[in-house]
Amino acid sequence: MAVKKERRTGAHPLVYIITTVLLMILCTAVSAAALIKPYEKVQTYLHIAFMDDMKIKPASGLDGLVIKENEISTQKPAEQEQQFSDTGEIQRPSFGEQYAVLECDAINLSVPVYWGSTPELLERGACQASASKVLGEVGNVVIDAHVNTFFADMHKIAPGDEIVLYTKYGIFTYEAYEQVKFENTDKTHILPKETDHLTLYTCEAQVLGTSTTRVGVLASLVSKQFYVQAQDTITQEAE
Amino acid sequence: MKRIYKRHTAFAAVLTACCLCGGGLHAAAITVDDVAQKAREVGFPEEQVQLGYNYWATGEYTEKDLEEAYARLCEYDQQADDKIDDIFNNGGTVQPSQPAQTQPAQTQPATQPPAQTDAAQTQPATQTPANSGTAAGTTAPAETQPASTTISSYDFIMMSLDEKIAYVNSMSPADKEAFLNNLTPGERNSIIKQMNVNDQAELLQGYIDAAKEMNMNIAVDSISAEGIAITVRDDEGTIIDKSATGITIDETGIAHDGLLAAAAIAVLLAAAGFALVYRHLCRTDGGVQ
Repeated sequence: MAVKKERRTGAHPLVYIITTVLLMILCTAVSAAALIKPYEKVQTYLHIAFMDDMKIKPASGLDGLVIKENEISTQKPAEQEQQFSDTGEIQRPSFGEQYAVLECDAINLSVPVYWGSTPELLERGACQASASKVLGEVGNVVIDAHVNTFFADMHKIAPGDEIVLYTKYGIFTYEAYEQVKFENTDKTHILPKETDHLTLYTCEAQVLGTSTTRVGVLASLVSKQFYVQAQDTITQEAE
Repeated sequence: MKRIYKRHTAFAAVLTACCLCGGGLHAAAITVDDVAQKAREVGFPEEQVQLGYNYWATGEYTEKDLEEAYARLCEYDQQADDKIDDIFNNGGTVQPSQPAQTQPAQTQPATQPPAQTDAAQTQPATQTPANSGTAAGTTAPAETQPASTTISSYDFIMMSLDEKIAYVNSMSPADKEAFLNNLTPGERNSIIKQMNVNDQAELLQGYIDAAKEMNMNIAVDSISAEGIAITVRDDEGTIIDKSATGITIDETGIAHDGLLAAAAIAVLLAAAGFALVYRHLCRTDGGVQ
């Protein structure tokens, strides 16, 4: 007489363990993909919130890059006791130096601007091409930043919005007049210009993070206000 | 600003010899300002000229050092002129495809080897370099129009190289000579930037040699069809400038390819695992042994 083997009624314990592990892997993978954007946004806010701390500890990048933070007042001209002039002395920044703060109230943007462009500087704020004009000089001022962080909302800047750049030697106000989209091989918008001009650009937002397409905002100069007495040490007033 | 020099090769050789000997053109000894001005003329960006000033402000140089620096600048100047002469008179070697609209005819100041300088731009405000240890002013000379051109300097700079060649060669021989003899630093640099990469690389050596005399160390980061990227450091290794012979557009997006690919693979593996577990459960429940 054949002996019937007992039918197994329950799964092997190992199955439960494997299922649990697979569930964890699946949840981790989905969470990681979904949290990329929020993480970058939090990073940006943390950077801006703790920017004062970073000023106390100036950092150096690799290969001789010296990153220098400066305290730059972002008080509106009417609130300052400073006197202004249409002409004045430009303080040419050194490579890696934070020499301006860019603000755009329309999109609640406030970001430090560094002179020169390297991956390390792009992580800290917006970068100005050292081949472009220093603020206050006649010509095209070209500033870019990561779309994942500081310039995430740049595409929301509309014609007519005001963009203000604060430096230690003056305040420069621009008005946006056009949004543009171009490929990274098209240098038209970052070429030199004969008139006072501001060009902001960043990558087009894509799932993969990078893109060959750039989006930009073109702005024309509204006013140049040089401090009669340049500010060497100015405490940044809390908003 | 007009820079007058003779194109005749023999005279150019004499000129170079005079520069090398530290005599001839200068009855008096060459000064720091002479070297700085020459550097601006040949296209050094203002940041690098200021670095030279900072170095010379230490006083750790001799008259011979200044003469050597001036000589190197003259050499570089002559090399660039020869290349330009070759392009406009003998057809020369040009970049293969140079659409006018995207041609970086002139990089805005500072960072192009052979470099554009702020001297090429009219500067309404006096510039004080942030880290300059000297009291020397840095007012850059204004750009003047060559007498024989019918278009503005800016328009010439924005042309593609083919357009520049066509424009210059449409002039009479006398006008052409006068025009090429009176190129502004900006116009000159725009031509250099549009040259064949091999020609740029040849000129770069002269640029590096001249920069060395001003206490700068230049490292070539990359050479490609787009241009040559360099990093300029002082004697302590601090980065003074990063530049390229072509205008570069930054990568302003943080790539997530790796993370997303890993997440996708993990999801697929998890799905495959679930499928295998399900098959195993089905076989176990339905099997009679």
